[in-house]
Amino acid sequence: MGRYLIQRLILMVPVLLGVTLVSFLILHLTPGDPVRILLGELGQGASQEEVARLRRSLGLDDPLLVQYGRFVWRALQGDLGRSLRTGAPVRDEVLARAPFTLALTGTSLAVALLIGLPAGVLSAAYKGSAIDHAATLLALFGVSLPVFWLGLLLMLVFALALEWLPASGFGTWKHLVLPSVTLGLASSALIARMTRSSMLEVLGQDFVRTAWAKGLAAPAVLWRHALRNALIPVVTVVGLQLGGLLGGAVLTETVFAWPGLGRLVVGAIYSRDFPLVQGTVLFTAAAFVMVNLAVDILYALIDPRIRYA
Amino acid sequence: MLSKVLAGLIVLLVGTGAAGFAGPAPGEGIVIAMPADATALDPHKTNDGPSFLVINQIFETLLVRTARGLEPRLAISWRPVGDRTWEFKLRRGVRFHDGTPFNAEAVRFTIERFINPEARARAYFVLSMVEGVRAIADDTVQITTRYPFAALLNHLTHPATSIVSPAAVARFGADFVRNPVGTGPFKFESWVARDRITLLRNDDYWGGPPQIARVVLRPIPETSTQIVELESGGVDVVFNMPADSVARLERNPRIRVYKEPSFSANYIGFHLERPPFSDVRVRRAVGHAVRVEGLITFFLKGLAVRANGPLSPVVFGAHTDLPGYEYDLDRARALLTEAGVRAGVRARLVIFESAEWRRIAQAIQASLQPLGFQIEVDVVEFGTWLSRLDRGDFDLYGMRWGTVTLDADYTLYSLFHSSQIPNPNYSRYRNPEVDRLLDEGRATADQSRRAQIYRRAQSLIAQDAPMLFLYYPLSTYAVQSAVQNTVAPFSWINLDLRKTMVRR
Repeated sequence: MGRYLIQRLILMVPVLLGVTLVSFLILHLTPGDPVRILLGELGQGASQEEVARLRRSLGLDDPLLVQYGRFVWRALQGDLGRSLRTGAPVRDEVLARAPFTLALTGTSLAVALLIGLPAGVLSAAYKGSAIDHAATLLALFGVSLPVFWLGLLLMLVFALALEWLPASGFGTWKHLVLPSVTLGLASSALIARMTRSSMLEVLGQDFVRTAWAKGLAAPAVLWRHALRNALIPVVTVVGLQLGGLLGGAVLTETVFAWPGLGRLVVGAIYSRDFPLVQGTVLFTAAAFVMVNLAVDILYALIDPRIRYA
Repeated sequence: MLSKVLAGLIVLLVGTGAAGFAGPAPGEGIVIAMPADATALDPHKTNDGPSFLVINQIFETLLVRTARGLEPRLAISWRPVGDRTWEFKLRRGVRFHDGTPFNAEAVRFTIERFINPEARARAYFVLSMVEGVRAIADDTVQITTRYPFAALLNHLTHPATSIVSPAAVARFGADFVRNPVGTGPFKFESWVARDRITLLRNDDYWGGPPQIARVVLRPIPETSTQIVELESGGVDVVFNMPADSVARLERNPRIRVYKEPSFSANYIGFHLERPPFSDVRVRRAVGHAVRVEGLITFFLKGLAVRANGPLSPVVFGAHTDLPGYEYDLDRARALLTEAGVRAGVRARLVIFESAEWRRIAQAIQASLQPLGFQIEVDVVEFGTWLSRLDRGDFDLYGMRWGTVTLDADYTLYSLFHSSQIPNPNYSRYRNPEVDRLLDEGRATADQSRRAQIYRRAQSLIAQDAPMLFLYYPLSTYAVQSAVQNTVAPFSWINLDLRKTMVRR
C-alpha cells in the first residue's frame, strides 16, 4: 500500500503539468486581451500606446513558451505569481477562497448523501412500488432543475417570503443552508440512481439470499449486507461528484454571492487574469487528483478483496 | 498550506457568529450591494466601477463635476497660468485619515506617482498629458501639460486622480491597494475578499462628519439575488436594476427607486471601410429604419432617453438639439436605391453578452429586415467583444460609452479623432475638419468657446453618421425608504453618502 501511494503521488506530477499546460494554451488561444479587459468599460479612452505600455509592464508580450516556462518554474518554488487584476499573490487568493468552497462542498455532499443513499436503497428494496416511482421522479427533478433556478426559488421562499434564512453571503451556519441544499439536490439525484441500480444487482446475489434465509431482519440485510457491497460504484460516483462540486459550484456561488473558488475562477476567466486562472486550476486539479486517490483507498477499505501492491 | 486552509475552515464554520458579520443595527449604518468586488482600493491601481464606488467614499479629487458645472473639492479655486499650466489653491486644514496633513506636497506626490510609468496606473490615460507638477506654496500647486489641454480640469474629477496620503503610501508600499488612506468622509476598516468591504465614518471630515456610522459594501454578482436582498431588508442600496424589476420595486412602499440621467450613451457603430456601410446614404437609411422610441418604451421600459448625438446632455459640450432621424421606411428605401444597394445585404453585428444588448440587437435585426438586410448577431463575452472591435472583425457593433470626465473631449477625441484608429475609434472615422476642431477644443481655455467648437464637431459627426446613436441610459438605483439623502450624480460610482441619514 505504501509503495502504491508513493507511485500515485509521483504520477500526480505529469497529470498536473498536463492540466496546467492545456489550460494555459486554451486560455491564451481564447480571443480577448487581458490588458484591454483590465481597463474595462471605463478605460475605453486609453490609446494603443498606453495599452501596449501596460501590457509590457505585466510581462504579457513575451513568447507563450517563455510565459509558460516562467509559470512552471515559479510554481515549483511555491510561487503562483500575482493576479493581473488585483495584484494580490495568487496563492493567497486561492487559499483565502478554498475554505469557503470546501465548506460548501462538504455540506452539499452531506445533503446529497443523506438524501441520495436512503432514496436509492429504498427504491431498490421496493422496486416498482410507489416509493420507487416517487424516488425516480425526485431524481429526475433533481438532475433536470437548473441550479440557478432552484437557488432563486429557494431564496424567494425561505429568505423573502418566510424570512427564515439569509438570502446570500456567509457568516453563520444559516448562510450555508440554501446554497448547500441547492447544490446537494442535483448530486443526490445521481447518487440515488446509482445506489438503486447497484443495489438491484447486489440484491439478486447469493449472499443476500443466504442472509434472508438465515432469518435476518430486512434493515440488517439491506443496510449492512447489501448496501456495503453495493457501495463501490456509488463511491466512484461520489468521488466524481465531489470533484465536480469542488470546481463546479460556480453557479451556486454566483447566485448566493458565496466567495468560493468557483466564482474566483469565473471572474478570472472573464478578465483573462492568466495567473489567477492557472493557480485556481492547479489547486482544483490537485484536489481532484487527491479525491480520486482517496476513492481508490476507500475501495480497499470497503471491499477487502481489493488490494493494492 | 493545508493547516492554513483547515484553520480558515474552522474559523468560517465556528467563529463567525454575531461578532463581525451581523448587519449594522438600525440607524447605525447601511449596506450597499455592488455588482462585483472591488479589484483594488488604490485609485492608481484600478479602473473599474466597483472599485471607484468604494474609492469615492475614502478619497477625494481636487474638483468635482455637478449639474452646476465644475465645483471645488480639495481645490478651492483655480486659474490658468499661460496656455499649458493651471494653478490650484488648496483647501486648508484638511487631514488624511492617518492624521498627516493634506497639502501641495501631497498633490504633487499623488500626480507624480500616478503618471510614473513604474506605477502601472490603470487609468494612466486620464493624466497622460501632464508634464509636471510643482508645489508653489503649502496650499498652491501648478500642473503643466505637454500640450495645451483645456479638459484637464474635468480630468481632475476622475476618481483615478484621487489624492492619496504620501505617508500611507510610504508605509504600506504595494499593500496600499488593501490599506487605502485618503481625505474622504469614510475611513477604510476591513476587506473580506468577495464578501464585504467595511468603512467607518471619518469623524474629522473637513465637511463635517457624515450622519451614518458605517458603510458595508457587498459584492452580489446576481441581480436577482440583489433584489431579493433589498426586498428582504438585507441590503439598503442596489444599483442598475433590470428594467423589469424597476416597476415591481416602484410598487414597494418600503423602497424608493431613483432614475437619473447618466453620463453614458449606447450606439450601433458601423465599419466605415466595409461596404455597404462605407456609404453615408446607407448609414442614414439605417437611421430612418430603426424606431428607437419604440425600443426604449418596450425593451427598456422607458429607462433611457433618445439619443441624436454621441454625448449625453449632462456632459459639458454636448449638442442637445441635433436633428434626429425620423422613422421613415420610404425615405430609407429611397436612400438605398440612390446608393445603388439592392436587397440581400448580409452583415454581422457584434455585441457583448447582456440581456439589454440581446434585446437591442434583435430589435435592430427586425428593423432592418424590411430594407432587405439580413443581420447576423454575434453575442460574445466582453473580452472577446473588445478584441473583435480591435481587429475590426465586424460590420456593425453595439457599444456603450461612459463620458467619465463629463467633458466632451473624453468621448469625441477617443471615438472620432483619426489618430485613434483603430481603437477606440473602432468605426475608422476620418474627417479632417472634425480632427481640427477636436485639436482646437483641447487647446482652448475659454469654456464657452470650447462648447461652440464641440457643438460644431457634433453637427459634422451627426451628418457623417459613423454610428447610429441610440439612447442615453438612465442611471437607476433603489434604496430602502428609511435611508434618506443619498445622491449619485451621473453614475452609481459617484454615490455620495456625506448627507445620508437612516431613520428606521
